Amino acid sequence: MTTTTGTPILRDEVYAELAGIVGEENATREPAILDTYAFQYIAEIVVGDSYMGRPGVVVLPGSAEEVQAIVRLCNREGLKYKAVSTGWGAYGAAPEDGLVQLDLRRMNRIVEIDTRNMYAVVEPYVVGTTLQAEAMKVGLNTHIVGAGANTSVLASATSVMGQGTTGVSTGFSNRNLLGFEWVMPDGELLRVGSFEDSGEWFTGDGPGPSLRGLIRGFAGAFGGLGVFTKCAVKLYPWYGPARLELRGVSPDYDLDIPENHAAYIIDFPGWEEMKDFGNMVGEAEIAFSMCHNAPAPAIASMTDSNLSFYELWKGGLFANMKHTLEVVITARDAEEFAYQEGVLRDIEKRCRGREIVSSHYDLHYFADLVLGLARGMRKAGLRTTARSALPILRFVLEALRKGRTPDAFAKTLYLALVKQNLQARGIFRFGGSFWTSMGALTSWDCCIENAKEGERIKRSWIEKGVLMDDGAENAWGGLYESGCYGHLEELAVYDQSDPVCKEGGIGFVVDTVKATIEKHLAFSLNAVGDPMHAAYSPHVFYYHRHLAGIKEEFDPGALSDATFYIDREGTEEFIRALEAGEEIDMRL
Amino acid sequence: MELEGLSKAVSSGSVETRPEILEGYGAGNGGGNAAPAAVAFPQDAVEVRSVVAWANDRKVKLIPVSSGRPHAGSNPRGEGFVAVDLSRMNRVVRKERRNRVAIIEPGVTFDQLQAELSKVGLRAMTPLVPRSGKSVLAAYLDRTPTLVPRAQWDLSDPLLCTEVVMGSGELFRTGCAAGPGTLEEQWATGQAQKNPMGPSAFDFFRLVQGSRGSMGIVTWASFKCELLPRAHELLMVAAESLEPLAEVVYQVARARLGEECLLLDGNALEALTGSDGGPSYALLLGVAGFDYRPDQRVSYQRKGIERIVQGEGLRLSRSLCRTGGRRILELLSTPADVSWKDSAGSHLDVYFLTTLDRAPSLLRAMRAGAASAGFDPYSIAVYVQPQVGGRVAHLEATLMFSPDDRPAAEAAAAAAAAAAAENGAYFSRPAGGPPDIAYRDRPLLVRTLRRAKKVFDPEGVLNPDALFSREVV
Repeated sequence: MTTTTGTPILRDEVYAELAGIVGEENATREPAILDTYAFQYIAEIVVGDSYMGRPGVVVLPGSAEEVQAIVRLCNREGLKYKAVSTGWGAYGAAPEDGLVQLDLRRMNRIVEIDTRNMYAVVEPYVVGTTLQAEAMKVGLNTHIVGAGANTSVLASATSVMGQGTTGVSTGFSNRNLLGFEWVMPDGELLRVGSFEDSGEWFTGDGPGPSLRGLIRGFAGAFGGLGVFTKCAVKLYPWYGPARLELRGVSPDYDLDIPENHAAYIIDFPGWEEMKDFGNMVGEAEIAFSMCHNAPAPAIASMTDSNLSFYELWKGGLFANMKHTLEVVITARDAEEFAYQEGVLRDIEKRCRGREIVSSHYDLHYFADLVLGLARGMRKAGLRTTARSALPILRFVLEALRKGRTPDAFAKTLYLALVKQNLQARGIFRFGGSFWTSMGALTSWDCCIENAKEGERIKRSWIEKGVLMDDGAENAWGGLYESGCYGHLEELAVYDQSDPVCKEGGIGFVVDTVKATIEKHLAFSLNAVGDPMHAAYSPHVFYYHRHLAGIKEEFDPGALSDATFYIDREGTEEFIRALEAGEEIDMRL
Repeated sequence: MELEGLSKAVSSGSVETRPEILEGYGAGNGGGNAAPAAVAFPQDAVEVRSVVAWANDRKVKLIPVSSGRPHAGSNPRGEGFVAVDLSRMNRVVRKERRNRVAIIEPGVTFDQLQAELSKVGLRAMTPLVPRSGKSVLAAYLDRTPTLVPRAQWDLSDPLLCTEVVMGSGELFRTGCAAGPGTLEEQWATGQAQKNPMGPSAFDFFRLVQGSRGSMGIVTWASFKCELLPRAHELLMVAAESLEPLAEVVYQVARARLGEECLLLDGNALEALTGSDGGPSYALLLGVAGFDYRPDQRVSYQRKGIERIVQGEGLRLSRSLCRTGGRRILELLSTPADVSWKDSAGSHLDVYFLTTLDRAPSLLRAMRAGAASAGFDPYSIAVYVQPQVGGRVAHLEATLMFSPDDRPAAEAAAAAAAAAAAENGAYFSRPAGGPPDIAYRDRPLLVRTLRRAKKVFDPEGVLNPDALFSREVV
């Protein structure tokens, strides 16, 4: 028997066998619980409904051996399966009903932190903030992705993407992956890299070709190529205290910025200066973090309610201060700090940058603040400036009344970038939901071109009433590996309960996809799933054929859910339609 | 072998069948390789594709060669295979200061490249004393360690994007070079082929790298360049044993100080400098300043390193083997016609990956292994190259010997490698040890690699015996 979508219905004896593998208490077919795996953020855009498919069963394995037994059982029974760790929206689920959902939350151990060789070995449910807290105790830090500090380190390293605001000093998740343990789609268990020979996980490359290249690229397989049960990731030096002592109540934390650390927001006359600054600071290797947050989410992060955000935003002044980069410096000692800040300010001068927020109070900063605000007012015009003045004054007075000191902005910025704790506050809150677009990993210059194009396209969708008016410019991203490459994705905020937004949101994404192809703006982060592969692949050496080749070779039964990975037939059907001049539905 | 089709696949006069030429492609490093039936010299990717298509039609095996000879034992067994010599594809396609990147074809050598890059204020990361005429791309595709661990974010660095002819004959590009758009169209939007990942959800370049030509033939690649220093000096520390120097390296890596960073023993230093009087071990640490406040950068980095060195009870040396830092710094990355390892006439290398803290015990194991085979363990030259910011260490033991002593040296090298393997050495590059040592007791890994190859080279035309022998399979 099958479900309405053709998936075999789970027989009682199979359920019993699954429960036998993980223990009765770690398996369920309870509908109310199953629905919690189906009700997912962004499902309304991905599949046109608030619910993804309801799994047939949820099992919580506690070890790689249990995962292996489940995958083997699924192969024997022809059951589709999908693993999820911390999950992030629709990507942890599948559109169809009935699959076996492996929830990896019990596998939550930091197996090892090798302090000397700067790497950690983690299970799937270890999240960024946990690993960071442990790493900081021994003078190390981890790359935390933009999805937030509460997301799985392993999922990002092995299976998803990996953008984060400290990438200039902590890289990208793909590049931080060392050895890993992989329950392959057929249930074989392979440890890739140095572990089998050395007992240590310090590299995932070789012998010979690196199988890291099989399991992921820019994106991962999103659960479409078996299950990863353990992995090693690079850690990076941390020159701060063993623990960042926070005061106050979430989300209005306060802290003392450590000695020889500093946080800045630097305003530029325009995009071209931002390009130059990013490239120069990247190659100078002085920044711990360097990224761009648009004015709207930045203000949302710094205000305590939607009302106070709106009061500040509606005047219009801040929308004119969009050419900014946020920088955090973390030096080991005063001499290094003097060098780093000196270089930063040399580069600011060359790029006409102005520090409009700084934790380092000196004459330079105060002069910059005045000049930077003056530049913003010039761009905004007299009327907009006047309209904004009173709400800003009210906001400042209210902040002072609450006991917040003038350096509160710099502290919030520092926390947001070091601990990645403000993502949800900044982007989900004022609209309810968001999707993203553009966002290729490419040279910083082209990232800026992505941001400009994303803003242009989004403005038209704001005017149609589909997307929230966030000023149109809402690019988020930064640089990676000392500026080797960067990314800027265009965020689009919408109300997921509004039918107009739900129906029209995909149109914005489609427009950005077309633009990246037609204007050669590199390979968007939206190129996930068959319709998107169909759009990109003919312009990118028909890559889908090779990706599908991997899938078919290692998972001939197509049991490891490939919704966000690849299906050759589905992709080629879309390609044929596009070649015939048809519009295709980009939803899955 | 019928070669008419092959002659048509490449430009006129680009197929060699003279025995004296073919012999050079069979001798290998130390002999033991069969000679090919012919050598094709394609001029560009179109011709490479034609050769691969011809090979697929005729089920002929190909071995790509970019400079010099193939590794011993890496040629297909028996006769009837063709070498694809890429040395005539030797253009520096692009070099760009703003994005610190260059694109080169496989025939470009380190000598040629450094001269080109310095014109725009850049330099390439080099292996320790690259051989003159050595293909840059071949070194990077083999994951040969380079001298600046700070600049290496991933073991694959400095390699970025590639253009590859797969074993299937399809042309493909990896990383952001794949598109959308041609290279020229990408350059017009400010792109620079610097993101090596993808396209999409696989990194084909990682499968090509380390495969010794068994997954695809690379026709060009982009790679990370570093800025040419405006101030540059070498700090040197000598010690009686490896351990305290390894401790210094750990601290320097943690502090993100320095540029070049490597450890050599006295034998290696003496051979490298051509002077005697080498210490037991030495740490070589470059410090540099670039376009922004170069002297200030050198100053604070030098002080930071000095503090670490003093903290370990060591001190900086002015010279080693009667050779000053400036000269040694120059020697490290300048291509040489004759390898420093051949001071006794010939040499064999055993190399693998480990971590710095395990390097001393692995070295002891290797020496014991070599001694058990009758080789003087203290004549072995040692080179330790920290990689990936100090997280990984390439440990290389070089047995230098007279050509007459090759059989004994081979036995000693095999014994040293076996001893290292027993103690946890990781032969990430299979050529670092005797055949199959990297794949011993790894049947699932071997099966997985074969399945991966099947995806991209279904007929198995590209260098099928490059990684492991049929016995392992």
